[in-house]
Amino acid sequence: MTNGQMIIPERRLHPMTLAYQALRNLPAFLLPVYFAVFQGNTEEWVYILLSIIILFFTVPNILLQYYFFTFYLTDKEIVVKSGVFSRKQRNVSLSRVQNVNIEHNVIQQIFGLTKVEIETAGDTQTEAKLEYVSKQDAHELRETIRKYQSTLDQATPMQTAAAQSISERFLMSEADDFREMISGISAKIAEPIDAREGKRDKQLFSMSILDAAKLGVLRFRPVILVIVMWLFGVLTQFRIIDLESQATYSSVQSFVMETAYFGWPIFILGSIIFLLLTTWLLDSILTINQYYNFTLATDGTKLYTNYGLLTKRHATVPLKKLQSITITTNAIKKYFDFYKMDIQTAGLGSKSGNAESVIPFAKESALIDLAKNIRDFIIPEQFNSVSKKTIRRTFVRYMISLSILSIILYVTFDFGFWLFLGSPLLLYFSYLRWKFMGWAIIGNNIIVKKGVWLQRKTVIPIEKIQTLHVTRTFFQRRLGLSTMSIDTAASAFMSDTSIVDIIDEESIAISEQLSRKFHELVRRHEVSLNTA
Amino acid sequence: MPWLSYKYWAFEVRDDELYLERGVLTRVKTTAPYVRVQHLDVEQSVLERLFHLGKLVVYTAGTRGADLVIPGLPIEYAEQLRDHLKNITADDAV
Repeated sequence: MTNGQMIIPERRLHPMTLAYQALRNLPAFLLPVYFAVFQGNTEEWVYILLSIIILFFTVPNILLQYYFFTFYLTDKEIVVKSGVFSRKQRNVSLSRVQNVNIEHNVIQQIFGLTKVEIETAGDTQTEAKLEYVSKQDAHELRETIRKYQSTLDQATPMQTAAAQSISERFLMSEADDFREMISGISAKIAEPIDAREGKRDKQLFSMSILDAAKLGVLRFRPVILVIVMWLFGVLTQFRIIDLESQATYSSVQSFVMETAYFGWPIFILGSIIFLLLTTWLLDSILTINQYYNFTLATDGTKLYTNYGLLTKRHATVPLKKLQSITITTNAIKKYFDFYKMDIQTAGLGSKSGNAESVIPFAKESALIDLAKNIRDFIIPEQFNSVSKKTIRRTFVRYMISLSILSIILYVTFDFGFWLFLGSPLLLYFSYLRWKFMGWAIIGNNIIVKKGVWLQRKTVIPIEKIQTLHVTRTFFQRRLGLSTMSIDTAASAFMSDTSIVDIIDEESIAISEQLSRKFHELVRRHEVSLNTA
Repeated sequence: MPWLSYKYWAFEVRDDELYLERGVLTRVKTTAPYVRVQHLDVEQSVLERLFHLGKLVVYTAGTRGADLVIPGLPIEYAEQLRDHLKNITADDAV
């Protein structure tokens, strides 16, 4: 029994999935063999046995999972059935779908496979994941959902201010165009996405390979450092890089040791610099790969991003579900006028805990111009600052941490009090923290600014506020301070929107202002009861 | 401590929002507009049943502190309050 008209009849995943899964599980199988054969541990048949055991479990597993996994799509819902021993059936109504992400990396591309992730509101997890289907099925899925939602959008007048302001600009004039595009979409499926969207949707932003390279050069992610360190560890472990036997390396090492009195420190420093350089290079390459050919387009109700060189990604951000906009930069990027814009939507999947990056980097002025297509807001020159007492509070907190650290150092290494030499620096940092924290209520938005190194401005549409919390700890009460947290339905990661240490009277005034404005906006725009 | 915690607990059913105040060392004041209420629950544990008490749980779609709990209400009152809030939120939904 099916609900609605069948679009993709019930079927299994793409058969090549089997081959791909086998390939993916190959390392687990080959590693023990490697140990046994190449490490010369031929006596240790344990390794071979291990391989056979792994093989014995993975192959049937892959086959069974494939055999028992089916899905189908009607014009109302998508149904996924899975599970070998306990069968699971998941019906996802198309009206609940927020996002359809389509992704394929280079190997999957060779196999002709595409990963489809379907996300809904409310759930922080991906609702349905299809690993993997054919490219054609993936696009059919996406277009069916788009089509379904666009009829829904036209049927309900409830739209947020943002969506409305855009619809006035694009949708009204392009409504016919848009409808035509949707009806003609099945014929155009073979066309690349970019070409089609470039023609029909309004392209807001794109990045050249040079832009991606620039971003890569300015990016330095600690995660990559960890990966590089791990990689070196693995390489030396497997004797691919043999530290002891490499003549150049050891000669450099001994040269450094002999000539300089501070041999070891220089050697360690050199190693660190080498690690950092490698990290930097790797990060640049990864960034180019990630953001290659980045485009951002809109059809008035949704944003579409499309990017990636080896791993292509295509994401959809429904503007109706927008919760907040974050503009981020760091002290170095700010110098080069590079800013990033992310959009948080309600219950967007837990995809690496991040919101969707709609503009990986652009000059601030260009970025704000672009942002007007998404939400009408102004970034003020001057923000309201929080109480100066926060400097004292921050400094005291730093000093407590410092004292604990130095006591631990003193007890274990018999030194550590020289750490207190750094206290003026901490005082200065406390001052900076105060200086970089600010808030502003302009128009229909509240903007919260914070961060000394990582500088973040979060724009929250007032009508999207869920709850307001004013918190006062014991110490804050003594100083007459409050912390104000503005809660939206955005995922909690990366969206810390609390204003710390504002004067009590001010916090009351802000709450009242926000509350008043909220009800005013809700009445005016008839914001729907649910964000979903 | 329980006495203090009781002393600082307060809630107010306002025209268009629910207001809560709580906390002994850290005081928290929360406002939740009725339009944001997703659903309402009355919960009762074994101990609460003994004392004819119950708690009202107000769910919003927010991510931090999304579920607002009003504990220690007489069970009839909790149910009344739930129905009352349900009516208000239903009105606003249209």
